Amino acid sequence: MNQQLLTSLSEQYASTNHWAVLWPEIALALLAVLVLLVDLFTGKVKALAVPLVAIVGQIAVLFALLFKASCEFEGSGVLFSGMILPSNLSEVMRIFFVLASILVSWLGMVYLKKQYLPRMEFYCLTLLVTAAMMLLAQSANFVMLFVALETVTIGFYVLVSYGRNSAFSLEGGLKYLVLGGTSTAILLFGIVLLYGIGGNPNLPAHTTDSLNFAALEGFLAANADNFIAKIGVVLVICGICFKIGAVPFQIWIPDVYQGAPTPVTAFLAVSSKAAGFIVLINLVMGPFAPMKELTVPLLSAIAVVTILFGNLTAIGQRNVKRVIGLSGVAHAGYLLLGVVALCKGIELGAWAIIFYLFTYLFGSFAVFGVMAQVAGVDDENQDVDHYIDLARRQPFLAGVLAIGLGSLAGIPPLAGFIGKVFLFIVAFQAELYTLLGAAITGVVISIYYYFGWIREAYYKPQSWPTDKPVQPMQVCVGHKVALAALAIVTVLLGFYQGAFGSGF
Amino acid sequence: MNIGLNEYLFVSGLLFAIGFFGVLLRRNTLVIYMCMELMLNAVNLALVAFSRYNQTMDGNIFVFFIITVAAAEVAVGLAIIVALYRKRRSVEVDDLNALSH
Amino acid sequence: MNPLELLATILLIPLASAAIICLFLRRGGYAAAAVSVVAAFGIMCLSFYFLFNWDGLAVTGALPWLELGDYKFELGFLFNYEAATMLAVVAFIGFWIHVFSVGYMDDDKDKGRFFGGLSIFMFSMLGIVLADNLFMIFIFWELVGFSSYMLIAHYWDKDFAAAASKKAFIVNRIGDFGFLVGIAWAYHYYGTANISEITAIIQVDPSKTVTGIGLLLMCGFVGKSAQFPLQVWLTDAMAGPTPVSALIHAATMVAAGIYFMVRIFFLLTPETLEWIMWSGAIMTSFAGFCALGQNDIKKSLAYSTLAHLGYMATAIGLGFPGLAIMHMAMHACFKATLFLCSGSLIHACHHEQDMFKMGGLAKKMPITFIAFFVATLSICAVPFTAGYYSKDTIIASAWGLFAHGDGTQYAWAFGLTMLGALLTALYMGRMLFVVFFGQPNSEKASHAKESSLWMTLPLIVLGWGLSLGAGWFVYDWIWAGGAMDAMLPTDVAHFMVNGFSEAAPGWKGAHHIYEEAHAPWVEWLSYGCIAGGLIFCWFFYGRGPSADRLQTKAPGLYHVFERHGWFDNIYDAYVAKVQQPFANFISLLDVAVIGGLLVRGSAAVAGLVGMVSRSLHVGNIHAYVFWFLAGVVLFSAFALGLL
Repeated sequence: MNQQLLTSLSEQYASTNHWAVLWPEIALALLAVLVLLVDLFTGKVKALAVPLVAIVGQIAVLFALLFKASCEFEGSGVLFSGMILPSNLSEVMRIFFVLASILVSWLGMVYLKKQYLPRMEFYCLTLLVTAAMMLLAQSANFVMLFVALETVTIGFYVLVSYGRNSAFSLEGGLKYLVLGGTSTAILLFGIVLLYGIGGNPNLPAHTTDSLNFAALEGFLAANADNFIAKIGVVLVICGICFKIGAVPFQIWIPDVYQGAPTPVTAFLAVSSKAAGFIVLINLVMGPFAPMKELTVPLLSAIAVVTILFGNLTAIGQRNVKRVIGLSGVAHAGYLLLGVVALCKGIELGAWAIIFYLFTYLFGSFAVFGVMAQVAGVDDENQDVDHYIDLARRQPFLAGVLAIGLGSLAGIPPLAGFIGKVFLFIVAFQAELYTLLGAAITGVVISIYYYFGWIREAYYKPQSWPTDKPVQPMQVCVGHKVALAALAIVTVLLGFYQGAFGSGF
Repeated sequence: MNIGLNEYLFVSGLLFAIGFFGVLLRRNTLVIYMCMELMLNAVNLALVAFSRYNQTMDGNIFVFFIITVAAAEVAVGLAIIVALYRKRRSVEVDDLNALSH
Repeated sequence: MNPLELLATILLIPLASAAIICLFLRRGGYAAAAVSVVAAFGIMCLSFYFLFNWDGLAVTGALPWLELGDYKFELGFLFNYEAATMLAVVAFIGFWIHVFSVGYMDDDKDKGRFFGGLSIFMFSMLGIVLADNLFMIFIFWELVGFSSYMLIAHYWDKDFAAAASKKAFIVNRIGDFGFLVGIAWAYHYYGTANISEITAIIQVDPSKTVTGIGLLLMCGFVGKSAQFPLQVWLTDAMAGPTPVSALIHAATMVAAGIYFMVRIFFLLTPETLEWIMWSGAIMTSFAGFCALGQNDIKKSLAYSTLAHLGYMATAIGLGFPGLAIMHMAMHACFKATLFLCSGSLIHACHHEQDMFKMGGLAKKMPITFIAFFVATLSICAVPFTAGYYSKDTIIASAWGLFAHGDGTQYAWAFGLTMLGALLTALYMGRMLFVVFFGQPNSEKASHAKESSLWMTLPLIVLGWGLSLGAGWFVYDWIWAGGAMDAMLPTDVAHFMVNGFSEAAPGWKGAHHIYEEAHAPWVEWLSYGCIAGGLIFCWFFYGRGPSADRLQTKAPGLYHVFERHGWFDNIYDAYVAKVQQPFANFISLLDVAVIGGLLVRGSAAVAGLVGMVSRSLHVGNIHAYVFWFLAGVVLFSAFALGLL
């Protein structure tokens, strides 16, 4: 009997479990275990060995992904009983997440050097969260989506409050916890409504597998006007808006970004946001595609308000982490342009979003890299004033900062500019003229605060007390190479996007 | 009296609302935390009810995942609250606004 | 090397130079200067090599830059007559100003930054010259702007330099906004931003020109060329080092607006042209008056630049783009000379810029004096100097068009430009006699010595040579039995003389219009203006005075000139009265609306009042959850069709 059950289970369900497809996620999880072991069995060299193993391991995964960037699986494309659905998008996003994770680990080295904190857990959690993000990008079922999303979120609860000696970090963690938990509940409620209504036997086109994206799409196509379904869709969008930081679910961002350790802020700003967007892309291209009538105006309105809110509130901030956070809100707004275009059927929108995310990754990490170097021991207290005269104390850092911020502001010919051009092109194709107007207004406003920051670094030496000798900062060669690489990539992507531009 | 889907959903909605407004109004972080769990349980109830009504098992399975995740969340959350209490000697929401503006 | 690659090389040389300076020579001093000057020399040699081997046919083509699906962005080149002229000017004058800078900046510590900036400028300027589509032009347009702000703010430790840089930035943004909207409209309307393609469309169907597009694109020109009403930034931009003023704010960048208008001349409707004409003609005399009210030699010259940009605009407005470009080239020669002379004077007088503190410098600095004198004659349009051929023709052709019966507006243009010519003679005469004649009026001036060879050589080439003779290559007679033809590429001269076509003529067409009018008195009147103006100055201001006689005799009038019509005050008031309250209003809105909406209701919200009144990010979890509540309610209401 048991034998029979096992056989039937393995034939019906386990037969689609192609574990090889998930090799990068598995590799990262194993790497996390390896990091644990290294921490256990190395003595005094621990401080060096742990990050080294984590970073080298991730670089190996990255190269493996780059050179074998396809999931070769046979069969009908159903994986893990429909839980997982890899696509070209998710493949690119895997690369994105690993890249971001490497950079976060690198920032972690800089940060942890200045703190009395355990080291190993940071890398371990970063690895696991990254693996979960990869799964999130490929999930094709709400159960998978929820579990992956929660793995990410819970990992972040710990990471945000990682600086446990600092009341700010803990407070940031608690805020993220409460707001994140609430948004999770909202998202779940939406999922449940969709599940319940999609499987309702009294409705046309009902399905027995209503948690599955494809099945749900079929149901929604036939019941686009059902009001429970509409509420469900809206609640799911609310939950994702929290992740990407779109108005009005952006409100946690400045506080949490400020409280979190700098590498975690970078992780939140780049990877977490990107994960939210990849989920949103999967949803609007998949199950929510028939709900165009609802999603297009809703997301358009969110985009406009988000762009304006992010940029306007960023102007008044002095703490650079808050500035980056609020400007990140604005970036989410620009990215929503691509999502709306996608809803309207411009397939190119997805790639424009991905490309923008990459430019955002390089630009942001260049800035965060400089921030991590400039930051003192109290990590949450990073004021724009600390950048006064950076160009004289450490011209290299100031240069990287200027390139990173310039790219974020979208100054030609840097990568960020091209990213914005791509997004605006797809928005133009989708005839989203109002959104374009708002986005261009937002870009103009954003120049003000980005350049305010650069100005501090370059042009404002008078207020620096003259009796205080100029202290050149020490930045070791390895960090310089990494920063220079980020800056160079940011410049190069502005001139050449071959792989992105024509490869798609 | 016949208890059907609608009654379950009503209770579930009510629980969710109680949880939400608890988060909104209560001052003690621990209580807020419990209210969050309440919201998750409201979702669980709805899932089970739907699962029964739709005659599919997915909902019931989903509940297990939610419970597991909620347990993990509680473990992490309580740790943060305790650490914060040690640092600040308070878990009242009104005292937690060092990060603002 | 095919022509396209050669052009790309010319474009990339200064970029490479800038990159080298930025990466390795930020504190490089003379090494940075050497890299930059060698790059400029390379640009000049390659440009002239290209020009002399050019067959006169337009070179078009593109190097791929980026692709996105169906969208291809290419680094496109369009090289034709006007580009050839502009390239000759930028390459030649640019090189000599680089040389001058070596001498001028000898005591400056930040040579790396300065020469890096010059190289970035050369790159972006060449980009504007060569680009073939509106988007690329806009990108380079912003880049020249950027290098210009960077160089204006070179003396960043001085408040006025930083303020001037900011002002230039803000004022240019206003113009660029219109420009960008114009580009977007043109792209939407014609389906392409490529200039050649738009030209082809309009040649097929001339009715496809739109006044609105022309006027919006004109906004970019108005900002960059500092025309009315955005002229306020140019005089403040004189805070930058003098070679920068000569290169960017006199010879090339400000002329880029003119160049751009010529490039899109086919797009301009008669209505747009009339706007341009009016704007230019008014500027010729308005700026002339303002120039009389400045004691700072550079500011006075800056107003003179505004006036002459006005002449170029007038030429475009009259329908002679070739003539406008010709005046641009001639102006580049003599105005660069004048600025370089002022640079030489300022350097010799230890950064004294007040004319009335100079005086008697002709004997001490003879080379500078001769160059300045020749350039003065040239800018006043004394016959057979460079300025005469272009400036005088503009004035005369305005009358010619009126006599031809094309409308009374041309009579106004004639009157205003003629007044401008008189004013030119007045302010130039004032400058010449005050600075070079009489006795030194200050300690600094009495110790002045002639500048080094680095600075005098460019003065000799540009001043003694080109300010005098640049026009001869263009004029209809073969100079020195044709032997001098090789001095300026014939195709460049050809464009200046003939323009694009019958419909858009150059010097010859303009001159022809004037000759048809049979009004020799026009020419005599302008000679009279020049002579009268100079003689009047000789007696009115005297030789080397220590104070402005106009200021002492008629302080009210002088004050009007000095404040140049209170434009600055108007703009300052705008910022203080409109922009600032608007910002305050927005923040009030935050507080009032958000606060006001949420405050009413339950006691639970009561705690929110104090928090919201300060800001949105109050740091309290409850307040944040309210946002979530609002979001869920709003979104759901939207889904249910309630919103």
